[in-house]
Amino acid sequence: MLSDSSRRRFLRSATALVALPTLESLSFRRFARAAEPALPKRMVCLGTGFGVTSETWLPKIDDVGSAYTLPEGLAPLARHKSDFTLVQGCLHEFANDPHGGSTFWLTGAGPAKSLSMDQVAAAHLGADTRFTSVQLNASEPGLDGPGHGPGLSLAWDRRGKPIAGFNSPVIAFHRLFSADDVPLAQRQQLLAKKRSVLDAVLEDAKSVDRGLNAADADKLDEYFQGIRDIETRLGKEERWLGQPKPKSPLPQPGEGLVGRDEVLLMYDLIVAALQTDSTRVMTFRQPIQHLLTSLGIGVAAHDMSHYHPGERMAAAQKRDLAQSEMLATLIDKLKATKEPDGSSLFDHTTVVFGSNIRSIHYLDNCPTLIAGRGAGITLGRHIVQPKHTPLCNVWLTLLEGTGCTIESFGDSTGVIDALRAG
Amino acid sequence: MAVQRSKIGKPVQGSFAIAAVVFAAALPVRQAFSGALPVRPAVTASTLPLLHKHCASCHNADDANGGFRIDTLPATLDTADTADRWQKVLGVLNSGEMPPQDEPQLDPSAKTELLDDLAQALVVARKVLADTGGAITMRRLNRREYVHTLQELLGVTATASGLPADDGAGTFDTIGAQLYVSADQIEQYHEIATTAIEDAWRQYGSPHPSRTHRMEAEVSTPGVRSRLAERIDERRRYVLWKNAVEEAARKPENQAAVAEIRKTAKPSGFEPILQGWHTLQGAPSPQTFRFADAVNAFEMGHRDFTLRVPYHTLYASHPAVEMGAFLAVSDAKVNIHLQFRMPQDWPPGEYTLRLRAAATAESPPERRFLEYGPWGPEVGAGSAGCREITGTMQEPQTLEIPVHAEGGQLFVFREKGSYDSDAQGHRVFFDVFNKNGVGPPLNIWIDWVEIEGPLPAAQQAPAALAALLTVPPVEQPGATKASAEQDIRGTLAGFCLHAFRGRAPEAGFLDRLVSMYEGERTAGRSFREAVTAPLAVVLSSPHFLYLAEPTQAQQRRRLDGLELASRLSYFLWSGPPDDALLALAQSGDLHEPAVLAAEVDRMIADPKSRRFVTAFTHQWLGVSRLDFFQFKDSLFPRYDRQVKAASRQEIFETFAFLLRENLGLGNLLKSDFVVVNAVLASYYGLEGVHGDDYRMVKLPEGSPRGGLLGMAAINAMGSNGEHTSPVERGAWVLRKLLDDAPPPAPPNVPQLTRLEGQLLTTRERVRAHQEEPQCASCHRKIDPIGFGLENFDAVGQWRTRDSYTKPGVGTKEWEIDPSGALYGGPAFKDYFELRDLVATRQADFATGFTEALVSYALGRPVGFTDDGLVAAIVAKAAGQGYAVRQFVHAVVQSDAFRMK
Repeated sequence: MLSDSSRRRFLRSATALVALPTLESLSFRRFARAAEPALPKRMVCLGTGFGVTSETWLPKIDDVGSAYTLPEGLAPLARHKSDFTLVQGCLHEFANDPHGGSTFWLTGAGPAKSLSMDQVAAAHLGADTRFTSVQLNASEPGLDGPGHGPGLSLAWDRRGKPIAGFNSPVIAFHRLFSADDVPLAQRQQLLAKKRSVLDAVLEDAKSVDRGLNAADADKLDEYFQGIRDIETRLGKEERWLGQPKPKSPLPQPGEGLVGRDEVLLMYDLIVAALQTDSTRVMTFRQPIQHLLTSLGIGVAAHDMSHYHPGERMAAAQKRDLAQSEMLATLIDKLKATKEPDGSSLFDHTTVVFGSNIRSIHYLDNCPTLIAGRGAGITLGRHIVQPKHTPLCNVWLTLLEGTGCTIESFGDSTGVIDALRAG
Repeated sequence: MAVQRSKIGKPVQGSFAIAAVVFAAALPVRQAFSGALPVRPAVTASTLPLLHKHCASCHNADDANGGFRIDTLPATLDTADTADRWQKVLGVLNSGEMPPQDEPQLDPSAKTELLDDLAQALVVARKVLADTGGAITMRRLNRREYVHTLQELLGVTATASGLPADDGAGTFDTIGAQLYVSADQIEQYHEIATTAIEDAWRQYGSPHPSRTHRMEAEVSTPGVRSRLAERIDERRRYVLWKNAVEEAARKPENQAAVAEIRKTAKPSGFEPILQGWHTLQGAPSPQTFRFADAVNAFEMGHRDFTLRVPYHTLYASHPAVEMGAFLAVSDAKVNIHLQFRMPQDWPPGEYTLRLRAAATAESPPERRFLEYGPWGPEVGAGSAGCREITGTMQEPQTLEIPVHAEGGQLFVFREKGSYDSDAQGHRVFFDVFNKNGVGPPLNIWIDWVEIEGPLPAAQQAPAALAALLTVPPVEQPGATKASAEQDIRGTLAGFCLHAFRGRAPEAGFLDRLVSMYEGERTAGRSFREAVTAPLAVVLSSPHFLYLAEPTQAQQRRRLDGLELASRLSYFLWSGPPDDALLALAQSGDLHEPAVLAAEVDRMIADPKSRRFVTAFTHQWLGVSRLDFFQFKDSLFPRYDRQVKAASRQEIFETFAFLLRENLGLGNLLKSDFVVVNAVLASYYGLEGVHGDDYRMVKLPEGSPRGGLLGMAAINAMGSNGEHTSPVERGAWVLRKLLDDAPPPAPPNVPQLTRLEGQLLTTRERVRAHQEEPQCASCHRKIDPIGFGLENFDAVGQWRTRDSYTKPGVGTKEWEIDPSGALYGGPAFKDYFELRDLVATRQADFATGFTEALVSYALGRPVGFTDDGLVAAIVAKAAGQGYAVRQFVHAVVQSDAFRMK
């Protein structure tokens, strides 16, 4: 095991390495890109925070297999029934926040140590796209109010730090598609300037670092890591310099869309980003309060999550229906978007929809819906795992299916065979 | 059946490791911290035997079902592993998983006690395991501090909405361990700084003469009059058309068509004959009378005429519209608000917005408030505000509003509470229209609006910037270069000295800044353009962003003068030290207790201390909950946007008042005064309070106001925007006032279902919590306090009755019973007795407050190692009647504050 100080030295030296992009590595990349199989795999994770209405979203526990009855809350997805699978019985043993359905959802262990599943996928899939991964957030504040829990998006980095996301469709659109009309030479100059900015702040960071004790140096390490990440990004930017951003298949979105409109727009942006191969890994922390408001539901999100039969449960169910309808639209679009070989985006994408909260304050049996053929998952099934199976087993199965060669993820105890096709 | 599988003892992250990091501080610190803990978390003696009795037969050495053994479980929770095992026990008891259904169950009251004991022990364990042993993790400036610091350096207000807000973690935004930095953020810092520097050039780059631009409000009158004339003409044309159609309808050849129309017509206000005019022979088309179609004719000539013209006539015929304008209400469709645009080419800066206004004799006191703000979708929020109109039509008043603005800015003025939402605008108009057929009386009259500036006093650039302004914006060829440019190295070093709060930059860093500047200069950029690049780097570098307190040794050391100055200024000003403070830091005098105390007093007297008051109070008391939900206008018409804003402000103003006057902290528990302005006084029914500044107002005998418990915002926070929540309120009182926080809500407790579909009082509903041991262990403490506050409705208004409607079931109404008893403590018969009981707990309140203050000031969580520190501060303040400022002094004078 690395001690704290040797780990830091390691990071520093890694920083130094990244700061020197070599021509060899660039040409190798080009070569690698030319050689890789034409159609990449993608992953999309959609987190809904406060969970679902268990009674009407989850199929009956003994109604398994492919002939299961689709629950009422998923009714709008009926046309895709053979193209998604529901998994019951899984949980994150170590999640402990009944008001935070997203903090632990993709990590399984929380921010202490582990990184999120999407970032494992991004490390594997993201090398050759302009954006290694893209994190989307609803524009509503995401803290203890609306049910997601701490975090800046669904994603957490290797050191257990929250990764920031784009907090509105407008921001996401501009980052993904807004054209850079600056001439190439000027952009190269700009890049050089950015590097000199990094060199300068790095110089200052080193001088701050010289005096610090271990704990403070560990804190400042975030700054070094940040610089290293920017370096990586600049290296990537350099590689992408000659290539203009793809033309957006969508018109520029208007400001101020919230709730249902916002989700639909984000879904369109997800399709557009995948279609243009701007990125291959995306997460979206969805709105809850705004969604309710946009559906004309007057119940506060937290109250809705504590439903009883009556107004609150009706609100929770209405939310489920809206989310299922929107998800069905997303699947429609993924299916309708063709790849060069005539297959669809849906054939190469894994879509996960769910939450760490089942419903109310329940953290067991996390709602989990998997669609898309990107990870070679058996679709069209209702699969029930033994009670308390780690949700990380599902994540591991998806990662493995996506081509990530890892032995375990979080507290996983193995892959789920029932999910593996053939 | 037993637990399915075990995860205990696995080398993966336990929830306690997570808790320790999420809620507290970095691990290395914890590892560094050794020695005896002041508190050893343990379950009480009776807990283990009870568990052994019920669980040991399946969870022992021979038969460890689920790999879990109860017989080896220690009673002391002093390691993360033990705490994890206990957390499991709590988890399975809460979820009802254990004991298995076919095994003997725990006696409910014993189970309640056991859960209570266990939950408390785990809270203590979590706190112990998270204890940093007093070490403070270096922190970066949080978003507020970053903005304030740029403000002090550059004299401009930066927009930092792209940075994380840093608050909301349930603690304070000053806690270093919770303040992260990411690549995105570093780029954001650089971008925000660049924009701020460019703004500073525009604002201070060259002197701007002060100018005044005035708009006479009556400019809107001709428009109102011509629209009224049009409406009257529309009516005339409509009547002509209507008569012609009706005449055609009377003709014999049209009777069959008329019968058909009447048979198929849908009921609406629109006369069927007019809807079906086209089936009548000889009926003229609406286009003949210059209407787009029949619907258009009906809407213009009938609907709008009926709804609008009486009010417009009232407006247009009022003599005062010759010299000014009235602010009408939204649905009246005339002068909903007054707009005023600042001339396009005026520079950014500080301006005075001025207007002459009056309220009519008919306007009721609660409607004499003017809301103003920059135009945008959120008018009334943000920088916008509200002013009481005390001028009369005979003697109008002149209002002055300081604003930061620049050319092209559109300002908007309207009556408070007239258009927070469409629904509100509709209600305000039709509530009156439905009674009098006209609309509400005309209330607020504006004579003129003007803007003056930029104000010369505010054109003085801050010192850090001033040195750079000696170089003119565009250098003349051949002209002698100004000193700032000649000595660019010295100039940049000087800026760093300001930005780094008194520390000089290192030579290597300075080299890079200079070469960056020279690169830009060589590329042909002007001095200001070229120097912007290195300045932005300075404002993105760690020496600027972090409050670094270097220390190599493990043992603690005294802070040096500059470090102490920064700690102090970020505590009380959320910004950098000023020159006076830096001078004392550099001379070493700041370490003198008397000097330090005098500085604290000086800093509290400075308006910048408002930043501390607002940020600290907001986070300490959890005021963000006020924004979690919308308060329905239809249910609570008086709790409009401005009242809500004022009710929030009351919390801050009250604390500021106690701090300024150095009064006892106990006034927050109970007092015979409130600190309010006219808006809030009107909401509270206090007469004779006029004006917009908050001031101390003595309460009449028997008032429920006075102290946090009587504040509208505090009670509104304990609601869901519609109904009160005794649970939220009770938990808040335990947490914030009584220093007896209940454990966090446990996951996986089965939902109560017994009362589904029944129509119950709030008390009956909440009481169900006390039936199940899993709920009762906490709710028996929480709920009674909430019941005692039931006389305050969801927006903090006093009431004696309450009701509950369940759609499809019915409505129940009841007399509120506020009586109850503190758990294991005295009973109270009503709110007043409850408040008296709470007020006797001043020492507990002071302890909780001190823990919050220490945590905010030191930027780290408070742990058990701080018990001595907290007790000493409370004791010091207690000797001075718990005077609020004494707490601040005691914190600042403590070793913890003055040591790294």
